[in-house]
Amino acid sequence: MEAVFTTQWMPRDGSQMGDYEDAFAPATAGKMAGRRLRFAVADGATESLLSGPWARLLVDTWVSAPRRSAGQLVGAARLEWDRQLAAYLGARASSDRPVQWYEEPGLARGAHATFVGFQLTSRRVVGASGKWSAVAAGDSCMFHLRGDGVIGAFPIEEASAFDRTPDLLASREPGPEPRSGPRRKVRLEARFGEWRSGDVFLLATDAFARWFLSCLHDGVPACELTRVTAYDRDEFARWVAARRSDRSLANDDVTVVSVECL
Amino acid sequence: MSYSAEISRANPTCFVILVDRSLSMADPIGGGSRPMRKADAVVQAINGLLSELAVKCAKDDGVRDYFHVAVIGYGAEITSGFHGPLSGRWLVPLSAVAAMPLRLDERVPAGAGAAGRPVRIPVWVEPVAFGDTPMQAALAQAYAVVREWLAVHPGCFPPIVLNITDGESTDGDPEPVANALRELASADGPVLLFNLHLSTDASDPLVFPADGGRLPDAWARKLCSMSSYLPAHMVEMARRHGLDVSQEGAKGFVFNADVSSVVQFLDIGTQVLNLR
Repeated sequence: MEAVFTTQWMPRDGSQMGDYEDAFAPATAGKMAGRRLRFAVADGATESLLSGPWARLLVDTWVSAPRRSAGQLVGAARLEWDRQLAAYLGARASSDRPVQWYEEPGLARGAHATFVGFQLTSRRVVGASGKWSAVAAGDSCMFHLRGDGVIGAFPIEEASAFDRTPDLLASREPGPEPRSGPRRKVRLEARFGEWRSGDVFLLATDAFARWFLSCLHDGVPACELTRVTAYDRDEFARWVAARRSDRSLANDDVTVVSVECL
Repeated sequence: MSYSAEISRANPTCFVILVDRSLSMADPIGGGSRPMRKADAVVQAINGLLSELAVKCAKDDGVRDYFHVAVIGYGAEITSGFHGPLSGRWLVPLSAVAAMPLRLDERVPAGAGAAGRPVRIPVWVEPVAFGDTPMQAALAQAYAVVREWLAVHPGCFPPIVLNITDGESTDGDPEPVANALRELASADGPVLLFNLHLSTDASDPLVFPADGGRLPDAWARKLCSMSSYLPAHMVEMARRHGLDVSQEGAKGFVFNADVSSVVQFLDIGTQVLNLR
């Protein structure tokens, strides 16, 4: 099978490019062919330390080993995280910026992110239909578009369902934390379906996903909403600024990956 | 809609914590697993709050100044409640709070066992219990600090003032200055003033009541009347803490607070939305 994909992203207003804590994979727009194609987006939690690198590691872990199951994803990412964290802490210890007291609790709690991983499969390299699967934790979302309509939304189906405490995948097993409240163990939810040639799938972090569902609720046709995925970088930046200005898009990191099945 | 402004490094907000340091703060407080003086319980809760704020705002590049914080002590005199390098300062950006505690204690976390790794516990505020309760003057100082802040940050999430006391004001009626404080406003809404009254006995605290109707005396009713209503997101947070809080309106007031309600008061009273 073949798919073309685009990626759009923008940090929240008032922050630097380096402050962007969403992540997406693959890293650039393009075309892919194969029997199993993978895509992902993730959103590092604002209030946890190193959440951007953890979000990056989750999406990379998902796409880099297509035969790895969803159940193995978090374990594999945590193993690699421990290695990266040890290297990071070693570098900090030998630098002129050793870890400070206020970083210790955050490092002990681990990094947190929402995540949606998506996979297209086909029996043949060139095929006009096949299966798709998606796994998600929190409010990073997948939308399935066919023709002029949206025929599936996962794991959130209504804009009103977003809240301030989404489930988060943690870089370590949750432990007891009296002041911040207990974090429960989060499981990835899964959804499956079939794709046809011409179908489009969107993967988005919460700001875009919420805007998208709100517009659908207001009766805006999906084909109008997806135009933005074809914008160039400057057009996308202007579009984001305008939506933030009219307050229809939250001032948060924005990420959307569009995948079209050929 | 009020209380919805984004809080960012470009648009920070401030917390002002008023602490009663009168002689009676040396009396024991109700609740808790071991006997404790009110002054000790309060500074432990404030140090815990400052620490948690710094941890919450810590990113890879340091602590972000989403908040500026003042601690105003009132007893024998009205002074900055910070000890150590921040002594004498009123509003301090959170990065400076994080960088300049009085000291860092080391403690093995409870339940970690003898082999547990000690963690560093910062201390900025130390217990003081001496003198009267000049609450009117303390609120006037808070008014001056907040007014100056709003002149520079007119679009901020409204400043939050938290007053912790165990007694009646000894320098006159604090209500007029409390009302004036609550009338200060940013473009996002009026300043929030919350009050907490500490208990010496083990009677149950009355937390975030709808009004002062169930309060036992005129002073408690005055403190309640001086308090702002909790914004909707704080009501939601109070409910998550398991508190029976009215959806129609809850005063930011706690009466007969024990050790755990002081921590809860600071936690709920400093909840904000839209941290960016």
